[in-house]
Amino acid sequence: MKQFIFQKSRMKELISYLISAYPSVYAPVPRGKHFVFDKIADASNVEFKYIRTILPPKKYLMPQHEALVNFTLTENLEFKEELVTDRQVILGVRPGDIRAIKLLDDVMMNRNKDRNYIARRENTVIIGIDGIPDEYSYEDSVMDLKVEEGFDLFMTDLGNMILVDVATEEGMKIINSIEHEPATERYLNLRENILNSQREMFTARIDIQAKLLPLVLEGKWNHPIWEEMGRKCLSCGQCILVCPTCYCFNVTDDMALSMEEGTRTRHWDGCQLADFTLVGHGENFRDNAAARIRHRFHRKFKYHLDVFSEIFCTGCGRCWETCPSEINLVEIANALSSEEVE
Amino acid sequence: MSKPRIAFFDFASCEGCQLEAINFVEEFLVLLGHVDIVQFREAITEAEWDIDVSFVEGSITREQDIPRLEEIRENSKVVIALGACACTGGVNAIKNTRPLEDVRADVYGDKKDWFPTFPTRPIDQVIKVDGYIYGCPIDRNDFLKNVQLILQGKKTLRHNDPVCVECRLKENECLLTLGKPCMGPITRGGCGAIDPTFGHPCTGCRGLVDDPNENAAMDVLAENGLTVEDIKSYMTIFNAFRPEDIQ
Ligand code: SF4
Ligand code: SF4
Ligand code: SF4
Repeated sequence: MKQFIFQKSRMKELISYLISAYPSVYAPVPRGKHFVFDKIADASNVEFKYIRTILPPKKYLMPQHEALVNFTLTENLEFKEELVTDRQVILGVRPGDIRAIKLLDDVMMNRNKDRNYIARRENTVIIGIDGIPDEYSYEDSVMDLKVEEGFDLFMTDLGNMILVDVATEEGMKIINSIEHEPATERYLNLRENILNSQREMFTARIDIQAKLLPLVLEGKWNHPIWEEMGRKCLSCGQCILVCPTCYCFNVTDDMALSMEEGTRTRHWDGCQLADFTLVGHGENFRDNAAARIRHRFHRKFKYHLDVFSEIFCTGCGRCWETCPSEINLVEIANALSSEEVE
Repeated sequence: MSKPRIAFFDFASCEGCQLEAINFVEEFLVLLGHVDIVQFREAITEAEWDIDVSFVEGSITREQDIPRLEEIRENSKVVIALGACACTGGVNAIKNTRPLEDVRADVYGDKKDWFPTFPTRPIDQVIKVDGYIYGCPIDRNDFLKNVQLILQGKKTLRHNDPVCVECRLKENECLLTLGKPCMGPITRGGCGAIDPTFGHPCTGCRGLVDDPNENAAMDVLAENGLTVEDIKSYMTIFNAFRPEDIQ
């Protein structure tokens, strides 16, 4: 990895280069009081000083509704696969979301070979940027804020200068589009100071080392916290829909009005929705909110650790901010690790 | 093969869903040669009582509605509840929250005895219903998709995922995070989250999901600044009907 610095005033130039060189560039832009990743046509409303976007950048690797196959009901059923292979840049990705994409890669490219995900992922350039937390963020409890992989470029805002980590050849090519110079020791130290002060800013914290949570969960299957949270949960599904590491989906076949052709589409779906575990004959094997929340917590802090040795939560705070009942995994983790039940 | 014969009927309602539905059917399905409309409003003749799919709009509020609805059921292979009034009782069921005498006096004054009515009920409280097309009014895409399913002999869409799902997937700002009320978390989806998309709170027109956590929803509305009275109106505008009302 190489480090360079460039003048912040050159950012516009960098963005213009990206827009001219790639069919699609996505970046954080304001939406009301919130932020979303959206396709940009110029640098004017890009906002790097955001905390989190409503949906994670995952939506460009695995869209909310994604056509997988088109079919025609002729005598021999005909299929046409939909693979998207346009080059795209996701600009301004926070460390947590970079880590989340790494986790999705583990699931969708390494352990499973999801053709659609791979097609998009291999055509995606990721440019990260550092940022500060708010009261819902707890990245510091579940990961290192200093991400070392999973991006082409990673920018750290040093004030007038931007420090940039270059991880790939494509990243180098992009940086070569603007004036830059090698980062000296002074700038690298400055970055460490900034990281340290960012670490200090977190107010939400998991009290124990998050990787110990699988141990804490032992014997907690009937802990009252699940019922307590279940009583508050509306089963609205918002928490799993906004999560950068959730990847569950449903698949539907929809006919065109002609009734002669149709599309197989996958849609984001997930474990906090009541129908997610509804199977044939009307059986639902997680038919109450308490069991669903318990499952979600185990998915984030135990099951995936067992398989991937990684916590599947980045502490981005999206689920917490959006939950109508302010249910959050920090409170659950701390309740579980602080008290024992007879 | 003869085309499926479909019919429309209405009870207590504004007829809005029916008009919408007939427009969609004529514009898309009749033109494409998928169906014939055999009955719409006018009195039905004996010969026409051979219906594959009946769409019934409106809620049931009077004694004389019952035999008519039963006759529709007997003569239709499939009966679909069309729109909020037929599916949940809709706004008509607000009257169930007050004594019937008071409601009739409000509406008909000193002529109230001329117009006997009983507590509003959705049509599935009177006859067996094969499917539901929710909403006040129904949504075009949802209607057409359901009709396709019905014509293929399949069930209508459950829509047990709440409005929040489509709302989040569209990446709307959640009204609740802005301190505004919304019934989206416990209301059946399938409308494309049309109200929140335009900044208006969902008022529950598609009915509540199968197992709604109403207590938690009321807590959330209270936290978003609604008074007890306001919360009651949110919870009852489209969802006042309770099976106890007619026991
Ligand atoms: S966002 Fe909150 S209320 Fe909705 S399903 Fe998740 S935990 Fe339950
Ligand atoms: S579980 Fe919540 S905090 Fe953790 S990554 Fe998902 S949305 Fe973010
Ligand atoms: S605005 Fe309403 S429907 Fe949309 S996510 Fe929020 S609560 Fe759900």
